[in-house]
Amino acid sequence: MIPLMVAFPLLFAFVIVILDTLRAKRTLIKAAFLLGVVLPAWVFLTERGREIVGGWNRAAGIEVGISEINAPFIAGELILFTVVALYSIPYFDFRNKKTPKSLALLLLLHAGLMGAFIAGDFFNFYIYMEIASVSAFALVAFSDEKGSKRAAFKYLILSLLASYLFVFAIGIIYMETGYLNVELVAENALPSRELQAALGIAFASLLLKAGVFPLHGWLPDAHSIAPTPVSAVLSGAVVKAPAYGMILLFSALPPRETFREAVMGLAVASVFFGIAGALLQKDAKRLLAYHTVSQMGYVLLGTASMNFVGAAYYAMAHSLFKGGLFLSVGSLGKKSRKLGEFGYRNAPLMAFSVLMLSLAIGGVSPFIGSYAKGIISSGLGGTWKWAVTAGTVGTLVSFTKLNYHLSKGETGDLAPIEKLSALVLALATLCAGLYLGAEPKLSDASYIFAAVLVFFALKFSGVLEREVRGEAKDVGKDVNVLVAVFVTFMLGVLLIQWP
Amino acid sequence: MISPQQAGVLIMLIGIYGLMAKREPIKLVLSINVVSLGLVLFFIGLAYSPEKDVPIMPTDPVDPLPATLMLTTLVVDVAITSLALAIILRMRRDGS
Amino acid sequence: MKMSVVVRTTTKMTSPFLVTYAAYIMLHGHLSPGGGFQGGVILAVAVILLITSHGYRKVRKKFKFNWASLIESSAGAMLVLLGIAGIAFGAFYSNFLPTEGGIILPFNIIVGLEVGAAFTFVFYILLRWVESD
Repeated sequence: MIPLMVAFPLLFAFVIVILDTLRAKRTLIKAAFLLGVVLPAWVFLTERGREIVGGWNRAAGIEVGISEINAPFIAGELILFTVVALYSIPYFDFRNKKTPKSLALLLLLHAGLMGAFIAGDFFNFYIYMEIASVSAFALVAFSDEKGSKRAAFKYLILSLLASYLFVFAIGIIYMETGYLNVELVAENALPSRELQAALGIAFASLLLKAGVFPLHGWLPDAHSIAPTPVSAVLSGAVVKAPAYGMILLFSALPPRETFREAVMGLAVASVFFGIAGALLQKDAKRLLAYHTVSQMGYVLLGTASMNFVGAAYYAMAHSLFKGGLFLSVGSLGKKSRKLGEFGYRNAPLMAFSVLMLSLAIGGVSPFIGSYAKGIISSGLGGTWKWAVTAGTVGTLVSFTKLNYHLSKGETGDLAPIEKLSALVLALATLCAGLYLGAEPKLSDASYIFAAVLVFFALKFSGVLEREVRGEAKDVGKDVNVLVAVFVTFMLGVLLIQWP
Repeated sequence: MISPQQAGVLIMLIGIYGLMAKREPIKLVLSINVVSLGLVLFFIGLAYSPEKDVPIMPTDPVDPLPATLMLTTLVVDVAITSLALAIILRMRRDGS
Repeated sequence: MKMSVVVRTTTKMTSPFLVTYAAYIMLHGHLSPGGGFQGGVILAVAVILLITSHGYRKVRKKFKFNWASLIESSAGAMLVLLGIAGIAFGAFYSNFLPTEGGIILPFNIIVGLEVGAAFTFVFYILLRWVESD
């Protein structure tokens, strides 16, 4: 019964298109949308274990399953998507003829993500990740802002190239072992040079789709220009599917020691690069998008140290707080998005939510961020633990910057659903942290204190006023540069594995 | 002679060169399609060997799985190409 | 985009044969190369051939836009319902018909209809921007 989690959103997506062609009433379409979003949760709460679709045996069938590594990913995505669905019903204007189609695309995104997270088989995972990605491209292109089509085009070309190289690597794995199922590959894999090359190529492709440091060039544009609920789902859930793919890859073909050390170094570089990029931004949503680059570094750190449960819990935590931040900043900044022109001075409930979410993303206990960071750093060696601590302070510095600018401005009217959605996600981070057993620790107050000091020091020294100007190059040159970076990175990964 | 796998990898490299060197969006979409053609050729080469039988009521069949995988990949490629062409039309109309 | 009399008459006469060929490929999918997707593409080509030779507006009056959208989404919904119907017999998408090939034959036909309608629909939308006649 586990594949029903994918079947229900897919069915209701088609039903919405039928209802829209027959010109049904708006309440029917909204009801179909909400049913499609909520029904997978019913299946998730009642089913566990593995199953082969269609009742075949394992070597001939497609395996799906929910285990302790999957469950945090799926739980985070379900909570985030329910809140985003409730937010997006009043957000999209129903007089516009495009709106039922964007609701159908959101349901297809949901079905694709569910299918990717329950997959136990490489090719099945690739197909559902593609369904989710195509819906994401179309949703990014739906927005009416300037530059949205260009951002969608860049995202499309780069993601498609990475997908083709991923399928190429799956082909090499099939040629060497004869199976596509993750467990059967893990049993039958003999160490050979072709399998190491396939591991490197697949890893580099998933790295581009997840938006980690050298290959993040498409991420700030696409995630900041999209409409607000779509940005929340993109940063919260769509970049987690490639992270789950990396977990599948490393559990099937365990990498060697040198490769793992190089990946951990790359993850730490991503954490600090994201923080540095976020400190120099003047646009609120681009700041949050650079933070996604930074937080995916933490997930990669957990994966590379073979601590898959830690990476899964951190991914769930990031879905909750990044989704909440995008929804609240997006609804506060409806007229303009530049920092300093809007804020929460006259909306105390939103201020409370944003402060709670900032503490959660910084890793202050008892929020869920600190629980997840604790699991990740318990799997690391001595020197890498300092990186996690330094990253905590850095994240708090840049969120001090966000709250500082937000506390100085005012905002327009807010619909009650917008205040409620941000508050629900903020409370979810707190309750999840308490449920999983994190206690308040006094030492975390020292992090906040250090972060505030560092922020004011940077502000007085004038570093933060420097303009990072992005010229509007045409989209062809952007794609050329990003593909060249990708190819160079992949050659580097292949050369590391040479001996 | 070159085997189909080597020819497939060569065509993929030609497509990746096209992505790095051309500037107009339609040429980029065409280069992605060339990469996909090379990938399909690589997979077909994996399964084929000249002395085996057709995989229907088989005695010693050719492996049918890579051909099925490639059907699915081609479907994905066609869908994304049509989306990319629609985005290009919209980009031109909005004036850039 | 209207072409000369010779082209128009020829395509009017060969389009039904294309539809027959598409139906043959769909129905023999479990015994010979072919199946749902390939048959569906040929079905779409039958309509697209008429569009390129007769002009967009004339064909659109006969093969309406809403029908293509309706056929596509109802075929998609029927596919998912076929899978859910298999649950009553054991597992999702289990093979419950006792005939030769099982549920592959209805599956091929539904996929063929869906793909044909979808490609026609995509072609209509892309043509709306560049129509000139």
